[in-house]
Amino acid sequence: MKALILTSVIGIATLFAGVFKMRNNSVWVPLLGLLGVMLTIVADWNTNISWYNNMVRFDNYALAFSGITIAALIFILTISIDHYKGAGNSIADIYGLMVFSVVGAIVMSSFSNLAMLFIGVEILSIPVYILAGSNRRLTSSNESALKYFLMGSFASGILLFGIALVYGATQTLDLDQIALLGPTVQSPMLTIGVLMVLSGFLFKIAAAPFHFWAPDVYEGAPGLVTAFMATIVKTAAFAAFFRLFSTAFVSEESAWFKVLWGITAATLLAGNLTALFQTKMKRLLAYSSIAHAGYMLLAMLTLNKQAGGAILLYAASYTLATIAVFAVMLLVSEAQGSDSLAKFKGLRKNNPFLAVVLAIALFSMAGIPPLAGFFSKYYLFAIALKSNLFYIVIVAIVASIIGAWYYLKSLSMAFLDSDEAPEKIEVGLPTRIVLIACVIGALILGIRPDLILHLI
Amino acid sequence: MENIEYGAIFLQFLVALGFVGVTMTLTHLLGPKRKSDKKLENFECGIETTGNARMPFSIKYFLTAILFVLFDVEVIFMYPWALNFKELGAEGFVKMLVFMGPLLLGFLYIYKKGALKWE
Repeated sequence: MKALILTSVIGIATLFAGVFKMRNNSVWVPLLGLLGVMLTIVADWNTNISWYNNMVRFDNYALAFSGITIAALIFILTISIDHYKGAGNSIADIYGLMVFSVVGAIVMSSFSNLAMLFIGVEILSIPVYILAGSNRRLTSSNESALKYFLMGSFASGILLFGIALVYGATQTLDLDQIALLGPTVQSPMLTIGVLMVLSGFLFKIAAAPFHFWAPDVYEGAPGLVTAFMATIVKTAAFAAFFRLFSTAFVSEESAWFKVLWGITAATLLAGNLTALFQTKMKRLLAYSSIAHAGYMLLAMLTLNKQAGGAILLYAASYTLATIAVFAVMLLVSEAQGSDSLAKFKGLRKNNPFLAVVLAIALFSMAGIPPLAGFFSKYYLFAIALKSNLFYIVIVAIVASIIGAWYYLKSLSMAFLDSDEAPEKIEVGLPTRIVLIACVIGALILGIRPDLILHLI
Repeated sequence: MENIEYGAIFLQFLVALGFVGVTMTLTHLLGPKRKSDKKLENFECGIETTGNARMPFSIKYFLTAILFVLFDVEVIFMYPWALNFKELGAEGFVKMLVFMGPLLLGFLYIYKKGALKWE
C-alpha cells in the first residue's frame, strides 16, 4: 500500500517538477522517488496485508510484480536522460504519465476485487494511449495512439462487460468469494463472463488472434514508449491475468482451458513465424513480444498457483533483455536514421560494446544458456510438463527454435563485416549503466534463477 | 406487477422513437423543398467553404470546456457530502480534504501550465 500511495504522490510531484523551475532535470524526481518505492517494497515484504475491505492485498506476489515494473521504469527513465536531451517543456509530463501508468500496474498486481482490477487496467492504459502519441509532430505516432486507443478502449469495454456478467452470476466482485461461489453457480452467465474477461486480457497481452494491433502500435510509438509497452504493460497484464485466473476462475477451468490452450499455441506460432519476415527492428521486437506472451501463457495452463514464480522469473528476464535491446536500438536508429535491420550491419566494427550487449540480450531472449532467458523458459516448460501439458510444450519448443533463428539472424547482422558500418556511437553514462545492469542481471538470473523463482 | 413496470419503460421507448419518427416524417412532408447547390452543402454560414476539414484548429474552446466538465463533476461529489456533513463528522471532512487536495493540485497544475490563458 505504501508503494501505491508513494508512487501516486511521485507522479504528481513529477508533473509539478515540470511546471516549476526544474524543466531540465525533472527526471530526478521520479528516479529518486521510485528508488524510495523500491525500499518500501523491501520493507513491506512478507507482510501480506489487505486494505479497504479487501479491495487490494499486498502479498508477496503483488510486491514482487510491482517491484519488476518499478525497476523497469527506473531503467527506462535512466535511458531517457540521454534520449530526451533537450526535448522541451512537456518532458516532465511524459515522465509523469509513465509514473501514473505504473500506479495502474501496481493496482493490477495487487487487486483482490474485480472493480480494482478494472480501475487498474484503466490507470495503466490511459496514460499509455497518450504516451504512444507523445511525438505529436510525427504522423506514425498519432496513428499509433489512435489505433491503440480505439482497440484498447474496445477491449476494456469487453473486459468490463465480462466483469459485470461475473457479478451478475455470483453477486460479488471479491476474488475469494468468486472462488468460493463459482463452483455452485450453474448459470451460463458466469461462463460467458469469464470468457469475456479472458478476451479483454488476451488483447492487453497481445495474444493471437488479438495481436494485430501490437506491431503497428509498437512501430509508431516513440522508441522509449514502445519499450515501456513491451515491458511494463505486458508484465502488469500478466500479473493481473495470472492473479485472477489462478485464484478466482480456477473452478471455471472447463470454460476457458481449451480456449486458452489453442490461443497459446496460436500465439507461439504466429508471433515467431511472423517475426521471421520482419525487416525492421521495432516490428521484429513487437512480434517477439507476442511470442514471449505465448511462453508466459504456458504457465496459465498449468492451473497451478506455484507457476507464479516461473512467470515472475520469465517477466524479469524478458524485461532485462528487452530494455537492453531497445536501448541499443534507440542509439543505432538515432545515429542511422532508421531502425531497419540492415542498419545494424557491421555494428561490431566501431561499436563493440553495443554489439556485445545486443548479443547477450538477444541470446537471452532466444533462450541460450547460461543466460536468464534459458532458465526462465526451462522452468516454464518444466512446470507445464509436470501438469501433463505434453503437446503444448512441444509446440513451444518448436516455436523457440524458430525464435532462435530470427534472433540469431538479426544478431549476425551486427557481427557481419560491412562497408556501411555505423560510425562510433556516443553512449552516455546513464545508458551505459542501464546496459551493463541489464547484462549483469541477465547473467545473475541465469546462474542463480532460484533467487527470483522462489520469491513468491 | 413486474411486467407492468417494464411495460412503462417499453412505452417510454415507443414514445421516444415515435416522436423522432413523426417529427421527421412531418417536416419532410410539410416543409417546402428547394434543392440548390447552396442548400445541399454540408456546412452553410454565408461564407464560401474553403479548404479541407483535416487541418489544425484552435483547441482553446475544447480545453476550457473539458476543464469545466472536470471541476463540474467534482462539485457533484460535494453535494451528498454537504448534506450528510454532520453524520460523517471529522472523518468525512478529512476524507473530503483528501479528495479535494489532489483536485486542487490539478487546478494549480493547469493554471501553471497555462491551459487557462486565452491569448
